[in-house]
Amino acid sequence: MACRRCGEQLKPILMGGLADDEADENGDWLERMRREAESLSGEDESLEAEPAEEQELPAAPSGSDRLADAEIPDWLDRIRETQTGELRAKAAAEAAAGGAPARDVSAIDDSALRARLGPSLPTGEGAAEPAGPAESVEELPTWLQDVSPEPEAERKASPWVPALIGEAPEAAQPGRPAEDLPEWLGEIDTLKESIEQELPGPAAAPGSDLAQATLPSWLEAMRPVETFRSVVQIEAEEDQSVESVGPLAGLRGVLLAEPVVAMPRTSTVGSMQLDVTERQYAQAELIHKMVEEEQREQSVSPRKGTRLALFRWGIAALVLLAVALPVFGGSPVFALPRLAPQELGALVEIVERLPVDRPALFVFDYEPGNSGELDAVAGAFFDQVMARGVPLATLTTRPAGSALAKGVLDDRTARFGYVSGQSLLHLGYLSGGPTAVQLFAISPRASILKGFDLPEGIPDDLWNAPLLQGIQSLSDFSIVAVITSGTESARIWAEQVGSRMGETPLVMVLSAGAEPLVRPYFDFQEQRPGERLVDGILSGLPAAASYELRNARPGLALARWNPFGSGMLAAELILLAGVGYGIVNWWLGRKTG
Amino acid sequence: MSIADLISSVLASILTVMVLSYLVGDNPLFRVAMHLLVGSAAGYAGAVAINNVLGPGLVDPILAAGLEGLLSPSVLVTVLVPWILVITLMLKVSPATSRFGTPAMALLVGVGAAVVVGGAITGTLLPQSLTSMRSLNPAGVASGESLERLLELVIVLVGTLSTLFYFRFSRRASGQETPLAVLAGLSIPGPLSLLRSVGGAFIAITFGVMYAGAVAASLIVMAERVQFLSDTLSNLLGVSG
Repeated sequence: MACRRCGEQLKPILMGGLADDEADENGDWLERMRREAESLSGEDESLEAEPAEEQELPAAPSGSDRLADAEIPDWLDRIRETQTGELRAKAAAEAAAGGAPARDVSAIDDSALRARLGPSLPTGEGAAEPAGPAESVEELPTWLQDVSPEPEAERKASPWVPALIGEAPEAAQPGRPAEDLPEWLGEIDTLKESIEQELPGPAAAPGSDLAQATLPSWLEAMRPVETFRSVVQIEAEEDQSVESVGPLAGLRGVLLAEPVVAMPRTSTVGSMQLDVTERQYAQAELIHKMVEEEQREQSVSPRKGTRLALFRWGIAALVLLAVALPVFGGSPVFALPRLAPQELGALVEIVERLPVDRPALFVFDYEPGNSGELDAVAGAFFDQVMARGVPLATLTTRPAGSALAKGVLDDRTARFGYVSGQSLLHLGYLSGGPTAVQLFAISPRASILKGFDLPEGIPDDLWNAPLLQGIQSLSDFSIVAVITSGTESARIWAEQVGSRMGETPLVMVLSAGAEPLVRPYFDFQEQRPGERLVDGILSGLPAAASYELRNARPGLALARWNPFGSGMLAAELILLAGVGYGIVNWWLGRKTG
Repeated sequence: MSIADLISSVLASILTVMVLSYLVGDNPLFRVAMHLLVGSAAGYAGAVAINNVLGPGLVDPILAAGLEGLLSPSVLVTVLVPWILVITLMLKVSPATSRFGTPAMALLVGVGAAVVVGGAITGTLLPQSLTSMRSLNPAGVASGESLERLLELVIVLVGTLSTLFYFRFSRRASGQETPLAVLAGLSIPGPLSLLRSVGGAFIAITFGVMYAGAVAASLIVMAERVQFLSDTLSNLLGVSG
């Protein structure tokens, strides 16, 4: 027998003391075992006849066994004697019971086991001798009798099951009769033949029969490509660095930990490859192009500065000359407006009806840059109100508005006999935007806490001044006039204050550019006489000039009438020239195709 | 004219010329004038805010009430709450403390939006819509209105409808509308395109009027500046003479 692990040949120490090196080498040790078994059976028969002699059955080995006694260790000899004694005792017991004569257990075990396992039972060298036909075949089971002993060459071959596609073992030659193989081994042969017929090419090259492996896309994406180095280049010994620190100091060619730990590298965790549709790809391309366009530097177009500057300078010089000529030269002189705007009559009438016992509120809601226009436009209105002796209070929602109000009214206080603190007060700055305007309309005393440029003698509480003692709400003023350059400010006052004015009229003095968007608030009054938003409107230099003519008080509007007219004429000529140039250009372009 | 007035007039004239120098392009004189304008305006606005808003609203009540008065409920409400709102609003300066200013900011924006929207509905949207509807009432037109009034109403009707059609942001999937007819090579657009064109014309007229007003306002201001330069020059010549 051979060791199942290492394949080394083992001595048959449990075979009834039949170990015999010479017999093993000749391969007839099994024959001797058979003869000993026969002799034992003969002894059994004699024992059956003379049971008393069984007790005296010696445990001494046979003559051939004695040859090997010198080589068998003592402990092994004792085991053999014990087993032999047991066997004999068992045989004697069976004989005494009247059963079948006892057989050699060792022989039965070996032959039966070998027949049952067939080729899978490892066989040692010299142990391949088949059992002879004289062996008690009739005592074997029927299934074991069908199994014929295999040739020695087959038993020597390592019993292995061939791969489905691979080289066939030599033992399975086509010429071998099928009845020699077990049934399950024959099925393998059948399967192999069918596979060989299905596969193209010869089966002699197992590697070429396999289809080339194709990784799934997700698995290929996970494969760390950049970090994998198929070839490890080992530097020459003199080129390898010497470790300077640590327990490996002084050694050359030490693997460096730095590339693994500290140096940046591609992550070994591969990203999943996205399954992108054509639409997504197109959108990604679009975004990519947009980003590229953002990063691309815009080429600086060649400057046409000289031509444009000359064009601009020419227009500026023309307008400046047109405005300056009437100022410095006194000409040209333009005719004064003879027709007054329709809304001017309503405004004059409102001012004429103002009570003089209640102050009028002027709201200066424009920036200093618009003072050149609005001072001239509102001048006639101020003159008419102040000529009637109506006390005045000013307010602003712009930080610089109070100073503008002071500058505009200071010129007129002496002319109309107004005294600051008695007939004129500057309420100052109203902060808070639309919310503050609404609050002021409801409760002026809660929204204005400190005036602007108040004279001596005004109490700490501004609203205790004699001029403002009767003011509890916005409707207590005699008139509210909003002087503004923007549509936003005018809209806020119309929306937040218009419905809280009571009988107090709301008047808008506007810049010419703001008039188109504010006029609907004034037209609302004409359409619905019972309801009012804006009672009067004054806008533009022509209306102001008409107002001054009506008041018979020439002011800034008339003083700027000629420069304004000349400038407007120049602007109109420039616009006409531009329109003519455009038409000619379009005509020439159409003619040339 | 006093010397102070003369000096101020001369300085104002110089600054005016510096601003007008922008005609030749961006230059240091223009920049200096702009920096002076912005700086003085911002400084003045800050001074006004401190003097007219923060002082009377936050500091003066505390000084007037004194330490004993601060414990009264009315002063606590009128003084302490504004102080808390101001302080939390100032925390908006730092991103770390910005969230503490959110309630004050929410109050500010919420109240402001409510006031503006409410005013816009009651002061602009409803009145002007009612006005437009009343102007299109046939009964009102038939009751002895003049031809001028009738023409005005037609213009209002056509202008309103065509302008609304101009802002109809939809079109045929096939592209341009089929022209109504083609005469002598000129295609007459369909009714929808015609309405849109009329609406565009009304809008262009509106913007033209606003532009003309802005030009007129600018010319008035320019005339005022030229007049100011002339007066200053005259005063200078008069003083030197």
